[in-house]
Amino acid sequence: MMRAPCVARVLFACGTLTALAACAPIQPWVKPYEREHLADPIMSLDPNPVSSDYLQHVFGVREASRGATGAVGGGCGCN
Amino acid sequence: MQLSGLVKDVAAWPGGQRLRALLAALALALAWVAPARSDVLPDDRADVLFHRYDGGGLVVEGPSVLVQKKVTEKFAVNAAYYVDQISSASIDVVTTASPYKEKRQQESAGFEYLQGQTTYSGGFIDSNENDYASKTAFAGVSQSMFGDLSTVSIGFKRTWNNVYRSLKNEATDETYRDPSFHQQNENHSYTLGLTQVLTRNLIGNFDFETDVDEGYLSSPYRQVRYLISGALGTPTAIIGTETQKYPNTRTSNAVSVGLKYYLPYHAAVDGSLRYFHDTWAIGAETLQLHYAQPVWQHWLFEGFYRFYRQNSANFYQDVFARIDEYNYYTRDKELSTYHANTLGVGLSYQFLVPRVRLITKATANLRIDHMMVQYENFRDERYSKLFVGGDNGHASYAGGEPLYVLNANVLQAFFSIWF
Repeated sequence: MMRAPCVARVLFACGTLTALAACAPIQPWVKPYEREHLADPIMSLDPNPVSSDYLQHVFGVREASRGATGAVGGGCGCN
Repeated sequence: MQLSGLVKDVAAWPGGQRLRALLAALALALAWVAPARSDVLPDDRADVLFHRYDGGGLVVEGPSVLVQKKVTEKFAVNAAYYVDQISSASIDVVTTASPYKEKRQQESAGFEYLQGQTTYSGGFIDSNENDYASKTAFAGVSQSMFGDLSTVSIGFKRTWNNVYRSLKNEATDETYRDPSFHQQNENHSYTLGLTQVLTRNLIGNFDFETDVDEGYLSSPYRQVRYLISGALGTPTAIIGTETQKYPNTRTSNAVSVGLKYYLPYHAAVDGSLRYFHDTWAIGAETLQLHYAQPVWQHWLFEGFYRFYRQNSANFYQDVFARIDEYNYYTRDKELSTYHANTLGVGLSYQFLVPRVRLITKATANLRIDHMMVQYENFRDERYSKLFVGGDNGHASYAGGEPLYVLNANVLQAFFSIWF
């Protein structure tokens, strides 16, 4: 059976290693050669900006909320 | 856009100190990350779209054109032209005025400049209609980092609006600008965004935006109803009307998170949630779902669903108990409590243009959306006996009309080419 001081030393070593790992530079976890699916056109976040801008305008003039849509819209009276 | 200038500007508005600190840290982080290798600008493309909205007595249609072109490998320009041809007999119009036609025209131009993994962008938007003129300037910077797994962006937008009032010459059926009415307002907008590759099949994105408005924020046409005497919904109700009055300032915050996932059988599904709140006590939530499925060799089928709900502004009422009940008062249905469901389908066909080697790819696209909006405290005044000839065969009394329901169809047909 492991004595208590040994457990403490193991825990200290694990903690130190974890802390050192946290200080290491963050490495990309999806390599460039693993991004075939992400590069597919159907994964584009905004494949048709002319259409998404228009729909944003349609919703925007009828709703009180605005913003955080990733689009830049111009002013409109829309009375 | 100078980051230091943006940081100072943010600090000038109420509650901006915390965001100033955040932007300062972000500016430091962007400066710290040295460009390791070059990113790329979007492909050259042009889009021509025809749009039509038809619902609630309002028809809006017109063209929209967008062109983006790389001048060099590091510098791209874009330009857009948009028209709304409006023919309105909406509930707001028929209960306070007579149907009208007008045109809104918008032009915009912008640029993107790539330096290493940093993209600088900016542009200008000019929008004009008979009773509203708006100019918008915007700038932003985005930075790819962590092996292009993360893209952080910040942006700033400022809009200057001139508000006019249209009058109608009933003899000639033409509208003209009321020379005795002119108001102004301004908007400042600050955005922060993050796009993150999470796995080899999953992308996440986060957006935050703060908007600050100052000036005349009301509409010169809309009126509120108030009870002079009697009881609402009964023949004893006597109703008066008054031009609505808005506060002159408004600050809002919106935050959204989204995920997009590549399905193993070559399809994609994405969803997003947005939460909104402002100083007029309006809260809103938006849920969006989208599914894209390539079919056969050249076709792409898409399905959309969007749910939206909001609660009304704290100075909104369908009928006020008396006109001096509040300092501010409105009956704009856009500031009322309601929820909306939108369903849409889209179909795209990809093809090559024969004998035109300049065009590397082209698509023909059709999209149809159906909106169903259920208002919860905005009543259909057309049913009221106070609206002459407007009982629609189901007469009711002011304050007792059925709640307003809006159904609308939105059509988009567009061609896109890449060159």
